[in-house]
Amino acid sequence: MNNLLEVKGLCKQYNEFTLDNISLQLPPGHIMGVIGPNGAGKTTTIKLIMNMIKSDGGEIDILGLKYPDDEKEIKNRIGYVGEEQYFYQNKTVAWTGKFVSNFFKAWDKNVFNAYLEDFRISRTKKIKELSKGMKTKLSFAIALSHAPEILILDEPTAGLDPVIRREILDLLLKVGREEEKSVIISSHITEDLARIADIITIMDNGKIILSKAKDDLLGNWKKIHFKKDSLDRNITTKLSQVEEQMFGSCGITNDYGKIKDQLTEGIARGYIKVENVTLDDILIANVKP
Amino acid sequence: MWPLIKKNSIVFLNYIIPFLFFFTLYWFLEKRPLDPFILGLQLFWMWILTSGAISNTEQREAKNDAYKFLQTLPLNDHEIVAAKYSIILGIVVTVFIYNQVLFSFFESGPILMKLARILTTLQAVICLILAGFLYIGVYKFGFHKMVKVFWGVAIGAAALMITSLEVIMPGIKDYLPVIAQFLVSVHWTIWLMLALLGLYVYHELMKIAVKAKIAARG
Repeated sequence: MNNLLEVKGLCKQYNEFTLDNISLQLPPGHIMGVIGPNGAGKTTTIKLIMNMIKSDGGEIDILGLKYPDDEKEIKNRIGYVGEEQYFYQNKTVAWTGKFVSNFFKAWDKNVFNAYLEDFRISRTKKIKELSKGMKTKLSFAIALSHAPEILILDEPTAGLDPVIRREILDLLLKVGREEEKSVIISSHITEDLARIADIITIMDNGKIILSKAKDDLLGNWKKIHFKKDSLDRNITTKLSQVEEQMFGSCGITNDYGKIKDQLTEGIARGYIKVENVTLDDILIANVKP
Repeated sequence: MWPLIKKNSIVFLNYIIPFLFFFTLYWFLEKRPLDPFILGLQLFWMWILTSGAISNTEQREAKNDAYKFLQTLPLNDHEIVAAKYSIILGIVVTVFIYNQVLFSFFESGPILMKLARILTTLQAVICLILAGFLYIGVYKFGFHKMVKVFWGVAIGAAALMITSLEVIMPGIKDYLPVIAQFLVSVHWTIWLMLALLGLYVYHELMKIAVKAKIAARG
């Protein structure tokens, strides 16, 4: 299976921040969610993938193409939506659609108009009259109207109300599942990514901490509540974020598959309780304070 | 690139064409013969229109963060910069042709007429080269910084020119007819070559501007 996007050893140096040796692979038909705290390097990575900023090292291979020689071809075949939407503020939605249609080889006017209708965006409205949510939807309409093979989304749901967020996530699920497009999406909102992503990549301090299939990740990361002395010492020492609680202790394991059998008896006796974790728990466990 | 040129050519519609139209109307109503004042004014407008067009378009681009928008489209930096340079070339050529045609309608002696045509050619070349540098500055330092630098240099140069003219003018006044005579005596092929050289330099400046824009990606 050839990866649609392959990033190897990507580096970028700023005065007070270094993006260090980032490597990613995005297989066809997968949605990769990139999570991390503020300043982790998510946006820098995405901007480098979009060639919006220059890298200081590493390779980016998109659909077998490379920057700078294939920039036009690459951008013809990917759709991008950023956190901030940049358009000509005094122009109308219709003008914007017509303007961008000049640059995309596979632009489909009917698809664009259908998205405008679905999103209830008036063609005659000026961009400056649109809300942030509407601008984001317009960006999605543009990104999806030229048959992109990959969608690159940088915090597209940040600052949006829950209704629009849900609408956009549903759209992404449809695009990812039904149309089998590959998506790379960065977000602070781990709940969103838990819903739609197949692969989770956690970034912190300019590095990739882990990148795994979401199901494996959530299958192996569990929260274990246990009463004193009910858990083997070998297991307790490997737990992270251990906290003393009123009726015992609680910690997080990232190796549940391996210790599962050793917990069966304790679970049956009620001394041990295993809970699913959220991506937030995994993120917090991985990120240095 | 054409859609970008088309978008930027709005300066022609709402800025250059009305200006030239009303200016022409004014001269025809005035019905005065060609004199150094009219000549100087016409040459001055060429630079004002060129730098005004750059300032007008770049201000709008900066206000809309348009370059960030264009970066998300299948366009490369060469096309974006080339579209800008093409518009400026279009403005300079339009004003150059306009001046050449307009001068034909003025009554004037053959020497002043020839001088007017030569100075317009020279002015067009100078305008192109200055505009080429101006765009490099815009891409290298950003529009807002460049505006400050531009006005600083323009005011400084004007002050220097006025002061030096006050000092030098009495001395060179006697030589002006000689300079005019020399310019008029130069064969037209030399001016043609100069114009072509100007276009070549403008093209090279455009390549430097592309590099400056790529470097500005950060």
